[in-house]
Amino acid sequence: MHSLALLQQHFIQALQSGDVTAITDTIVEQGDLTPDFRINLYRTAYFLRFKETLETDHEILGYFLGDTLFDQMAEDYVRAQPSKHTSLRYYGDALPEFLQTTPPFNQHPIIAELATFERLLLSAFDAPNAETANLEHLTQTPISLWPNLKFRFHPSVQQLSSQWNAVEVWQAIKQKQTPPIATETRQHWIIWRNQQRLTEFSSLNTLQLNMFYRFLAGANYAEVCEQLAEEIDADNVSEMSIQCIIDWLNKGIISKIVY
Amino acid sequence: MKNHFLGFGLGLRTDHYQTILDQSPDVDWFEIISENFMVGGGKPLYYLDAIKERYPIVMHGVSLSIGSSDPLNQTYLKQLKTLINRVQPQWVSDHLCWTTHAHINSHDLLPLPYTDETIDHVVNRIKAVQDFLGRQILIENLSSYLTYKDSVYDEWTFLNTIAEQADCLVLLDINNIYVSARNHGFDPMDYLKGINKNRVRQFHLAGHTDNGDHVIDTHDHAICAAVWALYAQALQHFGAVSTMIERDDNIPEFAELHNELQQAKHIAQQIIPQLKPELAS
Ligand SMILES: [Fe+2]
Repeated sequence: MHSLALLQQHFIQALQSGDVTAITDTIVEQGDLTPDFRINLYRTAYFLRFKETLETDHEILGYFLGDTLFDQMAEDYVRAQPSKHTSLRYYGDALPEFLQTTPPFNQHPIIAELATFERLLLSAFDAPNAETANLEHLTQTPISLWPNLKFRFHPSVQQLSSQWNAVEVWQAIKQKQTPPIATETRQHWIIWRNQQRLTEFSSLNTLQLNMFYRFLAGANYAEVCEQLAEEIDADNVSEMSIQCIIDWLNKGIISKIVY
Repeated sequence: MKNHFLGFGLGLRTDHYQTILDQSPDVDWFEIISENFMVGGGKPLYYLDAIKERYPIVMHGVSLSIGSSDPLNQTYLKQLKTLINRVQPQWVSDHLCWTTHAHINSHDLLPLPYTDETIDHVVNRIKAVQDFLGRQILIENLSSYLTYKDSVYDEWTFLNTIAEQADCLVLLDINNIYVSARNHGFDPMDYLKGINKNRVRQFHLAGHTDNGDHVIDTHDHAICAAVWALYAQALQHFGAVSTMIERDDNIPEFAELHNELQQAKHIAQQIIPQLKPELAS
């Protein structure tokens, strides 16, 4: 007689490491199917379930890698990464790090960036709901109060800074076009869920990126403008900053304007 | 104990969200997979909120891991309770199985050894869950591919004893009874007869993959003739029980599932001429 805990330990060990000896001893010989065959039905399902999860979450990465490399990635990842969550939604969360550190994938850093981008799309997709501020909220605010304005971003907003043209490659594959050659280039992106609940992304230049992080850290409009004045010609600060804020409001990435 | 016959339901699946809102199809209720809605927001919760305004909902979970030797997952139970408050479901179910060990989640419904040790363990945990949620839960039978040497009871005796001792309800999956009967060589009628009628609140129907010497519970096919026949026998034995079709893979157009549901209704009406759904209070 095994204790329940020991039996479960042997079962999980069979699923995760493939070592089925201990669990096979606990299984009855029934009909034509051997205990080994029976436990392997569970093993096959275990692996396939995780692989399908990665395929669903990382469709474009799958196209980029091709079947052989993707299968290898899935097999290695499943072996290295038992699930610790109740939802499969989070199973692939460690995939970008795995791809950054595991050969042969780590030899092409764009692979991990593609995975990171796809994880951020997932995060934007089911992030908490929140209201969105619009342009009227801004125009209704008396100009005298503008220096105190602070902006709260929508909870779905994600930011990616990549070293490679991963997002362009992703977009080309998504549109069934030939992707550009992988190229090292520093790019900044924001990803969010729009009011129709669809995920969107758009690029940021360095100045917009700096503004984004300063507002995110709680700076007010006056403080952000002060910083900008050190980066660009002071005459352009107000126009550039207002354009950027209007653009964010139109995109629906700002949930609240506070002062 | 009242049966709370809700009628004929379908699983709520992403592919069909918009069709359901656009067409308000004639379906008595929908069953959701609870875990799919344990997210912050976005599309899943938007559609759930809209659909629950129009249809009764029942919640079906896959992560309770009631038979695990790990402690009950309190974080999961809290999420479940939050979702119950949001959805106000007719009832809540999960499986008589284990899914996790040492916090590793198999995301599978794994079979338990049918022993007194397991019965005591599971009964205590169901009681704890019901206390925490403040309501009875339904426990569903699995399809399984192996039997443990340790088991000393039939599966139906195991399930029925647990339901009686824990004072919980039963979700009988007719397809799972068929699949396990084929894989283990028992008579499915023995299974039906072994379950206390008063505890059966819901039936599941589904398709499977028949590999000849064994059957895999894939939920990716239409329901086969043998499972329809067993469903008819189950209705004869248990009377009117709320019935739902589970399709999780190879998901067809909504109309196709709706037709299959009509077939279930047709069979039930032949066996029980006076069928009337009622909402649980
Ligand atoms: Fe089921």
